[in-house]
Amino acid sequence: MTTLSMKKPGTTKLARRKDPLEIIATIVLTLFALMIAVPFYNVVIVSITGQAEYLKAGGLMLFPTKPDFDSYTRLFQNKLLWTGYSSTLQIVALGLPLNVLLTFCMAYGLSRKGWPGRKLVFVLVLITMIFNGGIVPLYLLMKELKLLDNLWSVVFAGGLNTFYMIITKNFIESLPESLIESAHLDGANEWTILFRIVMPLSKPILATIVLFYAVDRWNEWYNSMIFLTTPTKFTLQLVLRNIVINSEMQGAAASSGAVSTAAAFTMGVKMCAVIMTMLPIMCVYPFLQKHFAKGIMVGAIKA
Amino acid sequence: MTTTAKRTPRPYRDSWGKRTMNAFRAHWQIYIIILLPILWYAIFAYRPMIGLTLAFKKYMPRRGVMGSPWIGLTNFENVFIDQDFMRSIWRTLSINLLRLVFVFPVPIILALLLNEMKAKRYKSTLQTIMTFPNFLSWVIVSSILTNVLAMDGLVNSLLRAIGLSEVNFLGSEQLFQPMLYITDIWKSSGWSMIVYLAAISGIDQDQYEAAEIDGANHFQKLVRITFPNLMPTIVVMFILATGNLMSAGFDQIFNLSNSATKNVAEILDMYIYRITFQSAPDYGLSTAISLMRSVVNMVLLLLADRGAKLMGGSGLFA
Amino acid sequence: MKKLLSVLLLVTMLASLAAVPALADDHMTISWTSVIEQDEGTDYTQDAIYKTIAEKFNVDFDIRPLTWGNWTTNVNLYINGMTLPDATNWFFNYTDYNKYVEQELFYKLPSDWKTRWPGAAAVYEKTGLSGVLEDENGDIFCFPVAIYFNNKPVDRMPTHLQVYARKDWIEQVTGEPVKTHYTKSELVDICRKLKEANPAGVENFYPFTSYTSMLIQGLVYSCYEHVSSNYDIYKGADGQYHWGPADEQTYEALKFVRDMWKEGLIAPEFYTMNQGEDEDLMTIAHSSAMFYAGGLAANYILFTNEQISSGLNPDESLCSFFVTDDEGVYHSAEATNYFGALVFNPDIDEAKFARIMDVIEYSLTPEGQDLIFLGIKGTDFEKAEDGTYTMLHEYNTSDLYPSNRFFCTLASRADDFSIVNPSYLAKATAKQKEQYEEKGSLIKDSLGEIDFNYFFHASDAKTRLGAIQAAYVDDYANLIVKEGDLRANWEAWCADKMAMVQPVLDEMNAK
Repeated sequence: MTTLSMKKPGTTKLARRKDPLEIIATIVLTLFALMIAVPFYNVVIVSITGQAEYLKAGGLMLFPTKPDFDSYTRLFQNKLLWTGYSSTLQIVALGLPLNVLLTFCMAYGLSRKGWPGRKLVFVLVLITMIFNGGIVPLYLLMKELKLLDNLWSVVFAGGLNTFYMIITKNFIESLPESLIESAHLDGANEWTILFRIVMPLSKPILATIVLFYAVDRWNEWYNSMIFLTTPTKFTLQLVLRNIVINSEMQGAAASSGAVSTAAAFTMGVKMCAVIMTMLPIMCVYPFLQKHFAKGIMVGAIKA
Repeated sequence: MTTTAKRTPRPYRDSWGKRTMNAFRAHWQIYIIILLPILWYAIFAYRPMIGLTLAFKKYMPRRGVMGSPWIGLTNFENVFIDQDFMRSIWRTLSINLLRLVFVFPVPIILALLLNEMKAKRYKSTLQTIMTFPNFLSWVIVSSILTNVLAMDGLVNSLLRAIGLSEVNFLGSEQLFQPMLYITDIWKSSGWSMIVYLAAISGIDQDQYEAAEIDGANHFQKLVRITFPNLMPTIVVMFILATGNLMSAGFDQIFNLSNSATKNVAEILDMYIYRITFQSAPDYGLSTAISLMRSVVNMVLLLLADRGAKLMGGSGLFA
Repeated sequence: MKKLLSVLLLVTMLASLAAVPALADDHMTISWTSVIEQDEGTDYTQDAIYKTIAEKFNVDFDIRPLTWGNWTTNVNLYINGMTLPDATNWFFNYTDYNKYVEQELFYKLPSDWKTRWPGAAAVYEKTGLSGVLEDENGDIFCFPVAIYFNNKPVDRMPTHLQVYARKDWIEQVTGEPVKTHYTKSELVDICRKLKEANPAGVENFYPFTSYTSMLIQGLVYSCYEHVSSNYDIYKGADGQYHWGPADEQTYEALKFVRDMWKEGLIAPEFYTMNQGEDEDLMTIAHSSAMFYAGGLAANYILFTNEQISSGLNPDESLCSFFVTDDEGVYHSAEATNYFGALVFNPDIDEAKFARIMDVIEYSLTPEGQDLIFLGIKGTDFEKAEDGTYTMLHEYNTSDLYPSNRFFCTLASRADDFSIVNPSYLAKATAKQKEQYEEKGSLIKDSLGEIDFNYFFHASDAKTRLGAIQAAYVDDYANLIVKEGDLRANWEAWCADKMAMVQPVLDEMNAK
């Protein structure tokens, strides 16, 4: 679009002096971040502490006297951890484009006014947010589609999130109508408008829903627990969940067939699991985060 | 493109059928665009929704969902025999209504505050940190909390050190609900904030420049520009949250409650879990319960939507 | 008599061994779902145990492991979605069994199965379900998984829960060698002395530490036999059915634990503990002196190892005992001698089912048990004519042969063999046996009997009762820590539940 031009965010040199509001904001947010950071530091520390030292310290610990990577070693020995990464990455890679495509198509369609059936479609879509048939019909559907024990079942089951779709629709509606209208008058068809005008202008919301979907995909465990039967296809979160829950429930049944020479340090393994799942997200997150701040486009359109 | 635009005005109105046909013709491209998502909804949302009929049926696997016999309202009648059921409903509503009061505004406030910060690096660092807890599952949050808030944990050690009496955070019925709101804020508000940040970044910067020329200070800009521009998003989020009142919080409460707090903790979803986990689930019964839950959710959502419209907002069905 | 029986059993088993076909000529792949502990993605199909069985029966197993966490959810879904694997370990429950059989969701065992697989039939006899499970035509639709069959320690089994404790500390405060069982008063006395002496020398020392369900199932359930969910409805001396939780004995049991808790003898926040955390406090952190766990050889070995790695000598520091009432009578509900049941895909073809039964038949023979639990004869162990084993090297079967983890869930539990398992620590296997025998000798009329009349009673009211029974453990724990007067709280609780209980009592009394 030739009408677009880049512009710096609206900070002017006049506003150099620190505003009281900014000072309040800084203090409040710093405190809040600290409240989060301290327990997180604890997570990291527990993950590299031996069980005996952890138990003796009782909650309060700054740093282990002797870092112990036993919990990591135990976790890494589990072959399912690595197949879990691979399954999850496949699901993200297959699912994310599908998510974005479906979400934007639906959101754009609903944001356009005047076509017959729009209200009906929107109501039908909203209904799916509130009503669902439960797990058995969904399972039977996957069985019918021959998708059981197939990663595609997980990909399709999470194909569209109506909540994210509505957020996207709202954002698109906030874009200047005139822009789309003038494109129309220029003879652009609907998908040109969607992919060439609306999508590029929707970068903040695109970044947001990509992040939301990616995190949902990354955290996927319930559907894979239901639909998949082969352990090497399990997603990362399902594998980690099984490890954590199994270490808590072991021997709860009548008897245990296999003798374990030493029980895992449940808390340590839990914390390692946290770090192993969060690390990739923490690497990707800053790149996405940049885009939330880029609200300049919208303002620049009219210039 | 539009045929309607070129059409010359006529003295009479077209018939309904003809108008619709024209409108269809004018917008056929939109139908193509929404075809894929519509297909997805049809297959993966509406197809399984036939399962809702199980609420009035006795599920027989050999005969399938469609072929299972109808049994009228038996499933619903059975639900009401247990006292715990109604108690769990009221508890769910009260917990989640207060959640709306205490937890819902926090991400908005955080987003507005974050927007006031100018130090770019620091700002994005803070934002990153605040989103972290969202990646923790409640199982993990619960073990961290048990660790920190136990009688001999970090917080009580500090309280003792400064001469205060210790607090039984984990086993107290009175403190249970406040704990829910605090942990919810801790875990999810940084994440929910993202939606508002995205909305803020979509605000037309010209408005701010115009206000600056008028000599508005930061606070005035916040109240007159940022907040009103954020309002549609807030309204939508509020309405959607209201439509979730009967179903929110299972994972959190399931993991944070224990036998000492169980009498104030069992919400509807936990009740369903308890009655179905133990033995072969009666899918008819659990569908009946979740159907009731959905109906309540829908009523609440429609009420919230109507309320939003009365207050002058646009509501969900704009 | 007993000897004669076991000889007969041995004979039938040997006979059945001969009946196993030498080698089936068509290869089959059998899909099998069961809970496999510590499944870490290991390929179970590579080791010698697997290969021996696979070759012997010309089969392969498509193993689909579940965890304790998702077992019920997934198997219920397989049953209701008609996607059962060929064989599945299912959490047996009579009400559900009836429901599923009625709808033909399980495979019907052929009517001549007892003669075709006599070894399996003999084990089935031992589960106590024989004669109860059959419908009016004598058909059954599942194969119950036995807990004890060759080495059943007592006729009617009490619970296996035991207190594991610091031997040295108890001996230090009592001044006498530890006993294999203590009365309730003795237990309180020991705890008090321990608390005063604080042999651990740590700030937060609690003599007794168990997580909720073990504490309740251990301490409360060993005060009275009719508090637990399986035996709460029982036929009293008056011939009428009663609800145990409303009996005065239940109040006494709750009061006993509540008093201990209030006195600070039990960890104050036991309700926030997860399984394993209680045990860690004693075996690793050394800040607690006792906890409840299953009285199994495998557990004894685990705790022994944990103590060794944390610098203790388990010979001096580990013991286990159980708690009786002050008259020295042991209370317990009778334990069933089955744990779940195998069910088969209703549409499985007969030849495949026969092959599965062949494998099961073999796995239940002494030879099969040796293979599954010890490995390869001649390489790992030798067995003399009189049945004594010689171990050829030191090993942990499941480490050496990962498929052990799968096969030990096949059609029997590991409990039976663990009583004689020569690869285990001898002390541990002896402990497992000894506690059953001793408990057996201290039971008067205090073993809550399995009342199959009630057990297999199926009605809507009973299904609904299941929902409140599922919450007993939490409810008892709640009453123990709840503020206010225990008696008032308990009476209110009973009154509240009565609406759900009375219909079941009425049904049973009308029978």
